[in-house]
Amino acid sequence: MITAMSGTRAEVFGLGRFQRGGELVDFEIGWPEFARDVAWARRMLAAWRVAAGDHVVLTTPNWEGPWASPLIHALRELGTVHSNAEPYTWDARRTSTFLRWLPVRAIIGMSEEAAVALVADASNVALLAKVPLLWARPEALGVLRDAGVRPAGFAKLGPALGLECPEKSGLHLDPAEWRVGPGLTLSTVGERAYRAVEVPLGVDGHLDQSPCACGLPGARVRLD
Amino acid sequence: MGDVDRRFLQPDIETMPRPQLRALQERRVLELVPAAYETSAFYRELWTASGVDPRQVRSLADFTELIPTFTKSDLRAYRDRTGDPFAGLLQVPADRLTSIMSTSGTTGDPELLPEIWDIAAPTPVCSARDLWEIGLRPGDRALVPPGTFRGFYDSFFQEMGIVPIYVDTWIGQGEEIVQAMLRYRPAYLQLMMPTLLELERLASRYDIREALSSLKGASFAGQPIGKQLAHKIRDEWGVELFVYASAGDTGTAWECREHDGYHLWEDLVLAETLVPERNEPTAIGEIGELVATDLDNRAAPLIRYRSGDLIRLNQDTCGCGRTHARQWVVGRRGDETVVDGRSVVLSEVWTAVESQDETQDGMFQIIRTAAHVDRLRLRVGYEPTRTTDLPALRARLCAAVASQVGVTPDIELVPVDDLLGRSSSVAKFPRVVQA
Repeated sequence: MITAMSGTRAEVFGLGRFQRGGELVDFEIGWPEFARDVAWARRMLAAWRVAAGDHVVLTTPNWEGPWASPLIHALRELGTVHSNAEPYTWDARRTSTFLRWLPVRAIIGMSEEAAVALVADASNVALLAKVPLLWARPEALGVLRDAGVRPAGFAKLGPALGLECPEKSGLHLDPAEWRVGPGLTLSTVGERAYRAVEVPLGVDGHLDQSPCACGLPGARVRLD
Repeated sequence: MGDVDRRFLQPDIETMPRPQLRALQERRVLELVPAAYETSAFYRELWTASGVDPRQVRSLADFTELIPTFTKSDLRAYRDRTGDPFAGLLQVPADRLTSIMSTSGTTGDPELLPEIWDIAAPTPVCSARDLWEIGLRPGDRALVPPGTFRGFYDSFFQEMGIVPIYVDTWIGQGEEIVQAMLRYRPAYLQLMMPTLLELERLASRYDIREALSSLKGASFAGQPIGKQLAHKIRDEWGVELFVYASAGDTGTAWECREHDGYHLWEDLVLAETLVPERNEPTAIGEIGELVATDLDNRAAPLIRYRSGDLIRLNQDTCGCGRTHARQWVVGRRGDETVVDGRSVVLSEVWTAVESQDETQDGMFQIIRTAAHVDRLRLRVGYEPTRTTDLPALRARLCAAVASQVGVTPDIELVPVDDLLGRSSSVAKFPRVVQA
C-alpha cells in the first residue's frame, strides 16, 4: 500500500472486556505485556512446529484481539500466510473454501457453531482431519471429536488465553504472566496494566501441576 | 498548521492535479502490463486470445483500447478448468504472501484475494485517508468493527494512533455497544444495518443521542441507506454518517465531509466506466459499469476487471478540495427487474417501502426467478413492535408500491430480524434474490 499511517502509534495496545460471572470487566493491555504475549505465542506455535510459509486460517473476530492478536503477530513474525473467516454458522462456507483450495496447516479459534456447520458435510470432516493444528473453543471440542476430528483446546480464560500443546493434556498459560489457583482462579504475575486477582475462570475443569511432556513450563487447566 | 490540524492525511496525493495523477497512473499501468503478461497465466491466456502484444501498450490510451476486460465468471471458469485456486492471477510464489483474504461471497463461493503487506492489511489501510477526513486523530478511541474477513483492524488503528476498543459489535450486541459508547466515549465506530435497527429499539431505554455524542463520525458499508433511516441517524441521533462502498473489489471508496459521492483513490485504482456488455466508454457522468485496475497490488492485481457495479463517475474537483474521482453507486448489473414489460427500479420500491411506519427501515428484497417476470414479488421486513395489523400493512404497502412503481406487487411480510438473519454476509444485504 502507498497510503501512509499517521506516524504516531497508539499509547496503549487497547482496551478489552472479559466476562466474570454475569458482569463485564474492563481491562487495559499495554505494549510491554503485548510484546511478551507475542513471545509466548511463538513458543506455543513452535511446539506445534508452525513455520514460515505455512497457511493458517483464523476465525477470531476483531473484538477478540486481546487474546488473538499475540498469536496473529507471532504468525506474522514467523512468516506464515493467514486467511480470515468469521466464526458464525453462515461463514463456515468460507472456512470450507480455504480447506478445499489451500494447504491449511492450522485453524485457530473454531467456534461451536462453525464446527457444527462444517461437520455436517463429510467432505469437510475429511479435510479437517488432515489439518495438523486445529485450535477449537471448549464448546466446539466435543462436536469435532464426535465427528472424528482431533482438535486441541483454545480458551479465553478471563483476560488470558489458554492453548493446548500437541500433548493435548490441558491448556497452557504463560506462567511468567499468570498464576492459576487450585479453585481455577486467575491472578496476574507479570507487570501488566491490568492486575487480575483471583478471577474465576468460569470453566469446568481442574488444575494439573505435573510437568507437561512438551517441555513448556507451568501448570495446565484441564477441561472436564 | 500542526500535523493533526491539517484536513488531509496525505495532502500532496489527495489534491494532486489531475494531469499529474494521470501520469502516475500511466507509469504504474506501464509497469503492470508486462509484469502481468510475464507472471500471470490468466492474463497471458486472455490477452493472447485477444491478439494483444503487451509491447503495443505504450500509454493509458493504448491500455484501455487494447487490453480486454474480464469478469468474475471468467476467473471462475479459468479456475474450474485448471484447478488453480488463484485463477491464474497470482504473480508471486504463494509462500511470499502475507495473507489470503476473500470476497464477501454473496453471489457464490468467496474468491481468494492474495495480499502482500507490511504494517496492516490493505483493506483497512485503504481507509486511512477517509478516517482522517472524518476527523480521527492520534489519541482518539474507536470500537473495532464486526467483520474480519477482509483483515484485522487493530494494527491499523494502532498505527493511526487510535486506541482500539475491543467490544463485540456483532448482531445482537446493541445494548453492549450503547454501554461501551457511554463508558469509553469513542470517536468512531462502524455501523451495520442490524445494529442500527437494534439502536432504534433501545431508544426507549437509552438516550441514543447522548450515547453516540462522542462520535466524530460513523461509517456504514455495503448497502445504500434509506432516507428515513439516514434522517434518524443524522438529525435525531446527531451522528454524521460516512457511507462507503467497494471500489470494484480493489479497495473501498468513501464519502468525505461534503457527502457528495464516494472518493476513489486514483493513485491506487484506475477506474473506468464502460457500457455494460460492450468495451465502449460511457461519457463522464453517465451510468456505466465500473471497470477497475489495481495500481498497488503486488500479489494478484485486477487489470480491467468488470466489477458488475453500475456507477456514475465524476472527475471534477470535490468541494473538499480533493482531485480524485468520485463514484455514485446506482446498482448491480443483473439487478434490473422487468415486470410484465415494465422496468422496476430498486430506489422506487425503496421509497414506497419506507413510506410506511412499520417498514420505514427500508428492508426489502425482490424475489424473482429471472430478470423478466410476470409479477413483482417482494419480501418486506416489518418491525413487530410497531405493527399491529399485518393485512392492513400489506394493503397499504401494495398501494404505495403500485403508486410509486406502477406495478401492484405480491408481498410477503416477515419480521425484520428474520429478514436480516437470511443475509449471508457482514457487509452486504442482497436486494435481489432468487425465488
